[in-house]
Amino acid sequence: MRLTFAALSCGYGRTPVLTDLSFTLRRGLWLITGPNGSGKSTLMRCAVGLLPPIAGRLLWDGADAYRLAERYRWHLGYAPQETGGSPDMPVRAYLHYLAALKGILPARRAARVNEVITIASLTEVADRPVPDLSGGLQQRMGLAQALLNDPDLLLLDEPAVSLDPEERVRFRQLLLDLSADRIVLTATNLPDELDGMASGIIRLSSGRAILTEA
Amino acid sequence: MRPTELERADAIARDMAEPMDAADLAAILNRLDDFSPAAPLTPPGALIERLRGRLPAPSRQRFREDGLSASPLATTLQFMLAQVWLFRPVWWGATTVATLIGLALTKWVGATPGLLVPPLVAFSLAYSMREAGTPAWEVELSCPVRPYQVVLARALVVLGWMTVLGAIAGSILHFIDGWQIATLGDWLAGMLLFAGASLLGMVCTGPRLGAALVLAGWVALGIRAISSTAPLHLWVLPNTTAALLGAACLAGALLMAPRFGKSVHQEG
Repeated sequence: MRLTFAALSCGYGRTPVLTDLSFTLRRGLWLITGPNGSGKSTLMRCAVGLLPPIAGRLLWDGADAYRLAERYRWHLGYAPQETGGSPDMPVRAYLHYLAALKGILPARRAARVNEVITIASLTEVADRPVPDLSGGLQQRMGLAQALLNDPDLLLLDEPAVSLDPEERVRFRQLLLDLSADRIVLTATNLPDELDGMASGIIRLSSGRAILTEA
Repeated sequence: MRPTELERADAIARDMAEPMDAADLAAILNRLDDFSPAAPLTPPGALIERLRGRLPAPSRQRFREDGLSASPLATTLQFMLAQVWLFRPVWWGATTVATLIGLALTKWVGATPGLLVPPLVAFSLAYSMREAGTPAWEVELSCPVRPYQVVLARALVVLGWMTVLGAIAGSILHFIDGWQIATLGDWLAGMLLFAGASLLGMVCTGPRLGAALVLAGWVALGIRAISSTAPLHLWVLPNTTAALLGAACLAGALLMAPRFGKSVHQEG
């Protein structure tokens, strides 16, 4: 598995926020860092395919990810930075719904939903409506849904920002475990927390990216 | 007391240091048999189990290797069916109650029940796209589905339920007033026309603005209808033309569905 940014420029409309991104990510944990407003979330949206490239290409194992469309998204799990907008339904029901969208076989759905609920420590709130959850719990739910299809490419936008210290420690270990057999790309403005664990750090500044591999 | 292995070995060594003939040597070799290793008492299966823990762990099997559907058709069907879950009981209840109240009102003013359709359709489609422009919407679009599938699946749920409500309204009027089932035509034509217009408006301008534009159009048509002396029919077009125009708008909305993400970003 390989995700390549090939001279990729992306942004909103025809106005690029990030230009000429050129690097390749392989299995491991990769961090995106940069000050607020540097384009971390934009890079995430480009990697998901929500924003089409203005120039250049995004390649998944050498094929154009934007053209692959749902065949590319079949490989990925994405947790956006912000939460909200989730339908007024219990956590478990919402995860069931997203499991169906991700193509999880009906016979395996219930078990998988329970599994990610356990991984994200959501057991106690599994039957509460999603909009009633606190910011931290909603963020954990974001992680849970991103893990549903056991993705090859896990994209997490500021995943630990609302977690309490104990959860952060557990979360670090989880990221490390997950990155053993997939690409984990996570945006963070707290790189120190994950430093030393990462395969590389992508630093964003003035619309450009510099990748430093470990 | 039996001599230890070490003592017996020492004794053999001492005996071998002495001059010996062939018979002595044969006797010593027989005594050496005591030192041959005994077959283990542990059954081989149990031994393998004990050793297995010392072997490198086999690589963990990924859930996605056998937990995901490989068929795009099956995935699409699952996705379409799952859309029904997004429509919460409050929507099913509210549209039913609105239809029954509206039915009484339209009967009171002598209007066609089709008058109820535009607000029901516009409200329902806006409700079906209520998370558009939010992070939850981004999560859905990160799944292996296409924007037109999202629009189509939700429109089908709305149109299906609106058809059921129309059939219920028509049946009630048929039993109360002996209305012709053909009045359902008004309902279906209005449903298609306003659903098409709503969806096209939503795809081009975003869900909230699209629904608002259609509702504004409905209000304008309503004022025009009320101020005229003609029987209170809402449509300015014959039913067939309205239905065909609505179907064309629906098709256009599906073709333009990839724009939906853009309009959502603009609106959100």
